[in-house]
Amino acid sequence: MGRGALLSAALHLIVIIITVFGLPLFSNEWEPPAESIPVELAPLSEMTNIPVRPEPKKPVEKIEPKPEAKPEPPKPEPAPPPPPPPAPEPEPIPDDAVPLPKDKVEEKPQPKPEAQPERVVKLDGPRPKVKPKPKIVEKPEEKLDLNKISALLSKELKDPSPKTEEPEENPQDTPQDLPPTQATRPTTSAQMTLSEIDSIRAQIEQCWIVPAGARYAEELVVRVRIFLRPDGGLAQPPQVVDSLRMKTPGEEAYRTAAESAVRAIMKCEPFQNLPVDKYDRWQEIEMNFDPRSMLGG
Amino acid sequence: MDMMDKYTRPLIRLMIGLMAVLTVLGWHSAQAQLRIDITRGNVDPMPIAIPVFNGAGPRENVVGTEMVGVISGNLSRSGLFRPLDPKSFIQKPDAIGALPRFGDWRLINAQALVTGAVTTEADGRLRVEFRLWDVFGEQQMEGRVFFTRPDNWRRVAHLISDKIYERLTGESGYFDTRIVFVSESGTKAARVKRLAIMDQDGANQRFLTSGRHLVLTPRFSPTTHQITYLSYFNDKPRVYIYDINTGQQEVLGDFPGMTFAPRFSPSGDSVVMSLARNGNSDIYLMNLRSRAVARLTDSPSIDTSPSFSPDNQYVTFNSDRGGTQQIYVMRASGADVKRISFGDGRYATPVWSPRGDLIAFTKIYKGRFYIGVMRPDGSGERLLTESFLDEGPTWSPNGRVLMFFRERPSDSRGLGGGSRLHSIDLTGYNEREIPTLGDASDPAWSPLIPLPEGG
Repeated sequence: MGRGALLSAALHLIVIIITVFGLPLFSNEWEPPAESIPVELAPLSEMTNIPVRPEPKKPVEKIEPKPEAKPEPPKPEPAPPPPPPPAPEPEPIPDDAVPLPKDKVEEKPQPKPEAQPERVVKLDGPRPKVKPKPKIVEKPEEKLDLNKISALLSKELKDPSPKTEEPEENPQDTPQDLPPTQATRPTTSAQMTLSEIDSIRAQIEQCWIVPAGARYAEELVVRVRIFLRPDGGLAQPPQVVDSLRMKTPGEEAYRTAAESAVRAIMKCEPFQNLPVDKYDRWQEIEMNFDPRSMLGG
Repeated sequence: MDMMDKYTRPLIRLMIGLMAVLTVLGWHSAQAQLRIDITRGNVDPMPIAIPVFNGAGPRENVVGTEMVGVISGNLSRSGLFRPLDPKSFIQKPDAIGALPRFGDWRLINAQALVTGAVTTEADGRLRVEFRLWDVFGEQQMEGRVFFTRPDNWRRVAHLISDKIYERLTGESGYFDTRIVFVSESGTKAARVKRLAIMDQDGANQRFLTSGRHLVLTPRFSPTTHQITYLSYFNDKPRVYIYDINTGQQEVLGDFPGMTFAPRFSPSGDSVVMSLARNGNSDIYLMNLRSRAVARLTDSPSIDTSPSFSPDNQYVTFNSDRGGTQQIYVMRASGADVKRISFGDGRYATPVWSPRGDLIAFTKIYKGRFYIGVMRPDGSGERLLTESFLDEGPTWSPNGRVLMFFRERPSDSRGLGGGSRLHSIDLTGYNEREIPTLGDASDPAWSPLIPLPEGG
């Protein structure tokens, strides 16, 4: 009895092991895989070497790489290289006895502007200054100008990601109303080849300015999901997968990294050289911005 | 039968569970969308457009123009931003209303845009507002209003620079800071050394001491308006404290020998320094309130250049106890002394980063001088500069930039020498000379005085 049970248990264990190690193989086989790969690998080198953005397609006027291609020429405006006029030197340079008290101009704190309803903060805290205490009042501006920029602000406050639903400057001849497809659509076309993926990667890498300013920037890996139209343009604004972290206090560095990733995507769109027949493969892409190799992490 | 159940039921359950998990995983991987790893990008500075701040009148226009010059200079010197040539701007600054035409700014490849306006209040104060725009996201990232005395516009420009830097890098800024340093003049034989102070960008330079007495190694207090330094007042080298606001200075303690190499603790309530007696130097800690003195090292060697870790827990210093000058770390109590520098050559003047993650130092190897950094455990040594003589690193308050002084050799006739202040980014790039009126050495970076929030 006992032996029978143990034997049974052992057999079951074997079955389980087979299950564990067998199933992934099965799942691999379900993909229509291997035979296409060698065929596709051949053009890899030539594809990868293709210049990243040969020329922007016609209908998209949004990004024109050359600034001077703009019909409106930069006016020869008397651009101000700041002339150093009498920069008011607040104090004379004292040069006398060793202990050198300054502050002759010490002025009494000015009365606060009562008129302003906002909170008013004086700035003359413990500032290592010889000059008279600066009287600076600061207040966050958002309150002041809510009316002026309310549209923007409300957008920003409420819902940062889906902010510009309308493809603003995209002309009519692009198919507008593509459904923001979810991954539920069956993918029927051939797989993306390595060179095709490389092409997308190369485009993005040209547009991405790695946020080198932040501390531990090498740990700030950002995932962004984008949805593309058949012409390679963005169907909707990029979505930072971990968008909650962007708003977390103390995660300003992550916010910076995420913003740099989003900026790169928006600078790069529309993407070029996408295989039209495989649209269902690349209409949704998750990009993983990983600066570790750049920043020596 | 019971036995069977006892063993098989859990196993069956386990098996079913495993199959379920694997099935889900397999299904999910079959459905996964295209994923691309982006592992490379540019480390170019970010292109930023800073058109002139609009002024309400001619006077405000001048101020607005000068402020933009200061802000552009700050951001450009940081190495992380590239202010664009105003000639390339399509939308004219005075045409920017409540909302910029973002398309115009995208065309010139600006990633961020700064706009501002300067007006004068009824009470004569200057009102400066600025906004930072995300050109691609088409939204405002930051917006502030400052009020100040008209002659204080320069500080407002630094405050705005800090706001921009903080918003775009996620790191605190360092532009609203000052540098105290030793200004040198006169011939080599009769060198005059005076304490001097200036803004971080070299503006507003002035002297704090007369130059009758030699001064060395000024250091800022992290919390107060004080500087500690070494003065040869009456030819007795002693550590002094100087109050910037009052001009008062006082000698620190009454020690039997020479005191030197002072530095404040991060809390600002004590000073750590060296005391030399009979050819031996040890490190002492003095509490500024109680004036109590504690001895931290006790060895027959020369222990000097102490510097606290920002958490107050450790002190790094250099010592020749091992035969050559090397860097050590110990607990703030003086316990657990550990050597951390093991490279070739000598190591001196360790300074703990305000971030706590690195220690900067001067390295002397085969007659050349280097400024470098290493982790507090001694690993990850990186040399950032090299010259005939680089010395005395000091950290920007955000731990991103180092300032130091560089001496040029004089020729056979004693001409051409001199020393200047330089800054370098932690990455080892973006080395720049800081303009000073004459020769300068021993820079010390002030802390960033945070703006009072709330209220």
